[in-house]
Amino acid sequence: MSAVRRSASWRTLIPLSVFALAAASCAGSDEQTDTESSSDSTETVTLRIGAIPDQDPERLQRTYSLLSDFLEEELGDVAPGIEVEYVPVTEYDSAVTGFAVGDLDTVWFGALTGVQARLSVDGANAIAQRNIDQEFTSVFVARADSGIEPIGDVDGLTALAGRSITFGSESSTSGRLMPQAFLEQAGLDANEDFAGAPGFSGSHDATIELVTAGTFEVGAVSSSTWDSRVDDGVVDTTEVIEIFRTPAYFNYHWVAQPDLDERFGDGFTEDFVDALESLDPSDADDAEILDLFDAESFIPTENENYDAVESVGRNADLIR
Amino acid sequence: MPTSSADSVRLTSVSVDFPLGKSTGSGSTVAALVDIDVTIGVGERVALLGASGAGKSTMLDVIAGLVAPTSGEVEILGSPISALDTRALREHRARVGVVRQAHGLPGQLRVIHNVNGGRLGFWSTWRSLTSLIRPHGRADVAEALERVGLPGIADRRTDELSGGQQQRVAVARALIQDPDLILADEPVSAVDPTLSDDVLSLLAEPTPQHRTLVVSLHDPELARRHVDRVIGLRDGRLAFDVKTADLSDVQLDRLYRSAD
Amino acid sequence: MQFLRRLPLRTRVAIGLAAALAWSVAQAGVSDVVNTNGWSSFAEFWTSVARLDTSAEFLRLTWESTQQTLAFAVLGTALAMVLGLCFGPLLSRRAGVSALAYRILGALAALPRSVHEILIALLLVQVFGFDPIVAVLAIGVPFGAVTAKVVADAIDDADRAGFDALRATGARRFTALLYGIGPHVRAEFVAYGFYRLECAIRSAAVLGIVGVGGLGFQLDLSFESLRYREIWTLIVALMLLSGGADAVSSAVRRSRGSLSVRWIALVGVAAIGWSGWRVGLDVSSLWSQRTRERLPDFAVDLLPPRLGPGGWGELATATLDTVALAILSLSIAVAVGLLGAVVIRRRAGGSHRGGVPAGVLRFGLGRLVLLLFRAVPAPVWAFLFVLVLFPGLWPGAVALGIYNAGVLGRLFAEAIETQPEQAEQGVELAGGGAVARWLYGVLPQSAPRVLSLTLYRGEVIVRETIVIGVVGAGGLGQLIRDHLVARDFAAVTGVVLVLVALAVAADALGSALRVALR
Repeated sequence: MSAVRRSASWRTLIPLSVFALAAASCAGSDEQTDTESSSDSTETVTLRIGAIPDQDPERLQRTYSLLSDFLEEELGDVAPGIEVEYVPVTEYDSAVTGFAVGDLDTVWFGALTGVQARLSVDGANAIAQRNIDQEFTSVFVARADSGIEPIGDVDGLTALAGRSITFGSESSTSGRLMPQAFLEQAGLDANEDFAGAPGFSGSHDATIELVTAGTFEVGAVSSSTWDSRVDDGVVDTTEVIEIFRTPAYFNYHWVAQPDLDERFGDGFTEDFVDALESLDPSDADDAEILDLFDAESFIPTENENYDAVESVGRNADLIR
Repeated sequence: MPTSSADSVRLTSVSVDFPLGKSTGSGSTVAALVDIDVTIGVGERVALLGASGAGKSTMLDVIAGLVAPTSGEVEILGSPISALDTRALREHRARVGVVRQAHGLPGQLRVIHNVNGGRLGFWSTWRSLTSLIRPHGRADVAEALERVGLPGIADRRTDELSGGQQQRVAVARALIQDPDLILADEPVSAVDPTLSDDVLSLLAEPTPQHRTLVVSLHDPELARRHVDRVIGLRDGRLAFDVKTADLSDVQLDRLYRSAD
Repeated sequence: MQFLRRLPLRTRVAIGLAAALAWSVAQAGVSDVVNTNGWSSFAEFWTSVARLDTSAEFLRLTWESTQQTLAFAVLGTALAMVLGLCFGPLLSRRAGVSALAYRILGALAALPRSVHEILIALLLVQVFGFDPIVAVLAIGVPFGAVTAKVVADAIDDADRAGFDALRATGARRFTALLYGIGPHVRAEFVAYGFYRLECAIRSAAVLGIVGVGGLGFQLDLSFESLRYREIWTLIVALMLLSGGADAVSSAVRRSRGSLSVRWIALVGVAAIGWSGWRVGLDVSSLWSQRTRERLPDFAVDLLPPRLGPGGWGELATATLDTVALAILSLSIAVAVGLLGAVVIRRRAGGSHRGGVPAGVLRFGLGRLVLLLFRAVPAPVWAFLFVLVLFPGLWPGAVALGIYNAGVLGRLFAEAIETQPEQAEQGVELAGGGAVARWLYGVLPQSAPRVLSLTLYRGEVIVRETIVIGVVGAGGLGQLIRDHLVARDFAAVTGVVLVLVALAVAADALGSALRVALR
């Protein structure tokens, strides 16, 4: 162990001191091939998964460490000795970037970020989604004491004019893109018709927190996060209330790099989807994972499902 | 302000030690003033004479309250300085005009503001603020400047003036303060000799009657012409303290020679 | 107009500045500014200071993150120093390169200086992915450009006798520079290196927020879930790190020349080795297969620059917003910074009155608050102020203003402390109060230095507006954020060009004002 460690630190030291002297690194070239080959060999056995940071970071950490363990076990047959590593990011667009540069192999995206990711990597595919993602909705929430009444239909959203509002992330489908599109449908411009400029809290949990704290009167969040927090009793529904649920659209899904089969073995991508599909709510361990995903099950999906969101995204200049 | 006696300045057994070396903290000191007893009455005009390093500036700084004595007592205008609280100290200081060798006129300020500096002890904060935008008391400043022989320069930048002119601005600042006690440290060292007499006679002017002057000078002849009493300092000790008329050349000779 | 022309230059400048400030306030808007609803969250943040999260687990995380931030700062500084030493001599007039090459090198060095580290990092990440090299380059390259300029100036300002003597013996230019000028510049260079490290720590913390890792990253995560107790633990760590670097850096500056360069070099190499190991730096990613593939692709994405979908109108509005943001931030920074300097200034002599304990308390507390202001990255201040100010220019302006007040306050105090105190004593002896002392004694004297620090800070703030925009507080930074979110890199380049132009303009305006108000 100590020998390994010494050689590792030595390896990083050599190119560094060479670098520090800013000399041409002839001597470092041996070391270089050494590092490359070793990183290549780890690349073949480590599957790096990511997710848009749409929720409380701690919850994300728990969700994906459980999922990583699960996947390591399930995918061991097709890719012996595989390690699954969860790489956390702080911004939605960092997840897209990580996928675009190839640092992330499969990523749990929202509809909009998923489309952006596929547009950045030729041949990447949407592979799986949750049962709830075919009929996904956004929820407008408000502080109970704001005097805002529940709204019946999209046109009724005009009642929110003049209030202060916060979205989630700029790249969020359910926390920004779709709510903004429905507001527009009702004739409201998010930048013009509210008190101050709209806020971007960063995540659904942050949106709920800010509305609860009263910083903003209205917030737009994903229905799955909202329902889950209400069920768990995390949200005090005497303080924050649901005022409108939008019409349904396709949302979250897993997107995979095109070369997974090549790198991890034939049929790897399919096995990945199968593994997710095999999550069984009647098994206690599986149920915990599904519960953290606010889902009953995972199902296969395909790229065409997100065409509608893509055109909304193009409309909003979020896809160019 | 209670004036318990007719004395303007009273130093009793005043000694001042300065530490040797700035921050070494070695503990060794040098004596700048040793056991000085001096009393100066209201309305007196006194000159301090002595070679450089004899303790003239230190003595003026002690009277001004800038330097606290290591031992002894200092009573100025009837009040022991060390006993004054912040507010009383300000009121006290407004009655004492100081012209220092390093006169400390910020060169970036216009002359009028530097002259007005003499009145800051009487002005409210608000007034000192607004005066920077629209100067107050323009006429008084113009008159003071004219008296020191610098008419019409109120709106010039101070750092555009020569050293001698700046020194006279410092005198104007002390005059406009209309103090009961003027402390002047070599006020004419950089002033043209032909003007020195004019400036000194302004400081030594017998009006108002209660105004006291303590001035350090390098030229005994100037002292002979302008003050009533001369105090000689040598190595921090009192060498002589006589009426100007009684000052002898022998005394002077001894005063300067010993320092060489 | 005629009337204006007759006024003295300073008055005209003052009127101009006042007009600029008024315009900026109008641009930021005066209605819908304060969000009273967020007050309780804001108050909760401040009251949480007494309840730091000291759980063993979180302390360990904080300790790890602190090391990471420090390691990035060390590596970035090392790169900057190497770049500075390599290119500095070339940029000096004494190096004797051709006039054309000199111009080209000068322009090349100016470009990275006018783009903020955070933006460089956001772009580099598109090529290198989540690789520690991104943070090292993002800090090292712009800092290296600044360092090269400093080295060049130091070489040109150094006594040239040694250089000339060596040249006379037939030594080549480079040798003559090394032996004739090197020793003069060395102490200055070491002191400057420590100052850079101090800045690099602040930069590394900001970079954490865009996901590089370290304290900034943890701050971002904790802010996302509004865990104020964790935030305060991280802030204390940042203050210790930043304050420690400040202290070391000023100690080195004071002991100029007396430090053994060999010893410093030894510690430096050890620190670099440790830092590289700590963050897992592998410089081979600079020329890895992936880099060779992605670099040309990304260059194609970036070029040619284009206008975003919002067109010229959007760009113009954002530019005006950025200008207003910079003016407001600078005004706040100067006002708060001056106040801070008044509080923390040490007087060498002067009156010995005033209670000593009260003075020490005021002094210590003032230093601590200023350290807090500058140790917490500007975007984190923005997160905080978005709680009580509606999104827009104000939270950004206050955040940048507070952060820079922390930097300026310390610099102002140092500048004032180096001025002779006679002027102030003069006012004091005439019985002037504290305010009069400052107005008639201290400020007029320090004004040139304070002004020059302010103008330089203004140039920095123009670049820093991007940091605030990235968290959604308006201006060109916000526009860049919008384009990045839409992965429209050509449009990002377009905005960056405007930013560079603004930085150059701020630079020119600063120089002009310095000359006019000398």
